[in-house]
Amino acid sequence: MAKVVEFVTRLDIDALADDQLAEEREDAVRRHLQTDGGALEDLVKMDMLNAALQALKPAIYRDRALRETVEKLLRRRAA
Amino acid sequence: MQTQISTAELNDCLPALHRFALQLTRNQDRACDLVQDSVERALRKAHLFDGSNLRSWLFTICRRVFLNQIRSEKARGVAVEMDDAPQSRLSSAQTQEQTMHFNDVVDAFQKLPVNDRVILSLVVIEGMKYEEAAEMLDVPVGTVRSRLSRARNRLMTMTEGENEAEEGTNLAAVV
Repeated sequence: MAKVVEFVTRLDIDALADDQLAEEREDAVRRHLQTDGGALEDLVKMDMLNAALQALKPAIYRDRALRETVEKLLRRRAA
Repeated sequence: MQTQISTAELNDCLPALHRFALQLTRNQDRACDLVQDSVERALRKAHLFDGSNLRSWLFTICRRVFLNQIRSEKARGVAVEMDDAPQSRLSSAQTQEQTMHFNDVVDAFQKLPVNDRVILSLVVIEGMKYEEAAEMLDVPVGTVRSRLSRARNRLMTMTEGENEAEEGTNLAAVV
């Protein structure tokens, strides 16, 4: 019987860090993380980066142009 | 006092919180202790949670608890087993490095191309789903994911001091 190889990409790792990994990919990604130390390291880096950006939101949004752009997009979503 | 944190939401955040704690402490036991302390603190301070992004809030608490621990350890000195000493020194050096890293993130973020800043703001800071961001920016979901990945790569490269952003910074072009 042919063995099915499940490819796990960097985008899967990103999605896991963002809590947006599709349910059907979760098992494959978690299995991959158990065997690939590099992937786990990438995941931790993504977590760290996400946490830093979220914690630094007030400082990042001191950039008025960016803040206004994001607000405009969010208003567009709400409309 | 009424808590604004549900157990289910908290449980969802624990794996990521543990990975974060592990990265800070570089030690499995200390990471578990840090998660425990952070969750206890979060539950005690649940009335201060604004209800927007639990994960981000927990990470902030975790970082503060960790920094407090480091400060108090520095003040009183830490008793360690001889076998633990090299790892302990390594952990301390990495912690200082990590703190500096956080301080560099804002500077690096501001140097990113406009599309990178916007996509990171929408998805990572505002917690938007990939599909929502794709619809908002009128691009395919795959494009959102690849832009996000490139943005993170650039940011990490810049915070590691290896490169500089090269693209333009015209925010008006995004909306």
